[in-house]
Amino acid sequence: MGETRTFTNNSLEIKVTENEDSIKLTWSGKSIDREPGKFISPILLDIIKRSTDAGKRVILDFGKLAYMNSSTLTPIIRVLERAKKGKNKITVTYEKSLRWQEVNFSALRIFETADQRVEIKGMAR
Amino acid sequence: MGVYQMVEERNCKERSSAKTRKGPRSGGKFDDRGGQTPQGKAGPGATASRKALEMTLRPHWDQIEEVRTRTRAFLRHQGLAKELIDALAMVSSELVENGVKYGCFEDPENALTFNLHIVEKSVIVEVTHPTSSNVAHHLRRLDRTIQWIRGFQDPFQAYLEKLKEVARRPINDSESGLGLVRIAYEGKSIIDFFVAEDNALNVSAIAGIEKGLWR
Repeated sequence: MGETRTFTNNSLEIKVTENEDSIKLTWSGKSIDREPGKFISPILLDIIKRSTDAGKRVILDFGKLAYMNSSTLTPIIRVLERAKKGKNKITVTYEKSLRWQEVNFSALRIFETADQRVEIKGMAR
Repeated sequence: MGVYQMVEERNCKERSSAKTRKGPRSGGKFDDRGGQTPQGKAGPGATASRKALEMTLRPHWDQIEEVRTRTRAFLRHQGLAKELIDALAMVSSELVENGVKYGCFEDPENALTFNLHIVEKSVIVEVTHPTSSNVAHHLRRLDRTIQWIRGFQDPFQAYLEKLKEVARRPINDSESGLGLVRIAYEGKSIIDFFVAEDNALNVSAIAGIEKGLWR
């Protein structure tokens, strides 16, 4: 088990676990801030930079997220867009059995790359 | 189709009549009385069984969570399936978020009204709030967005196009612009708006209750 750090803002928690080959962000709770990007973007940008430097895959795991407002998607898709055009490796995982997660996160397949550098995976837990 | 031409350019402080028109000052209530269909939605004078949740809200961000909680409890009480409850709770909170962001609440008496009605096989979510002096720009944008969404045969395509557009903007741009298209796609709702005579803006979303979504 690697190093773990937890970031909390109101009812949203992002747990960052770094292993030898990946950095995993486990999202839980609710993301309901007026401007969620103020909390989320600095974390994502820092992780993306560290993963680039270390050649690690970033895993964004949304399976435990109970709710997010539409503003929450903004920083996430901007990071995916940059990863698609760049060299980062990002996997997005979500809970397939939750309709709201399926409809929102499966749509992110538009950011997938043919070489699976950016991939979106629905999981059945 | 939305109507915005009627709005007058004047300071929202003058618009005391634009404050909430019905409902208690705080909190919400369940209304299980039978009654007429809300005018302009299923046709004036139409009779249908109506169940409603009505709330009058202060424009505080934490009220949005309250709306979501009460919406979920109300819809559970009505026997709707979890997936529809999730979708309608999202629709409700996105509409209220927009109301809080774009409403005019300089006058402390101004408030925001949230109404959710179940009329036969449809759920109507309505948010009404006073408008501000620069409302014309917001209404033009709202009208453009709604018309743009309607231009797609499948709201999913509209959602994908919006995702691509938003993704290309700078990382520190806080503007989302995804709320309405998410309501159309995930909420499977038809969005509309009108400006009332008192210059209050009413934005509504109508979702059908598909077979199998009653418990």
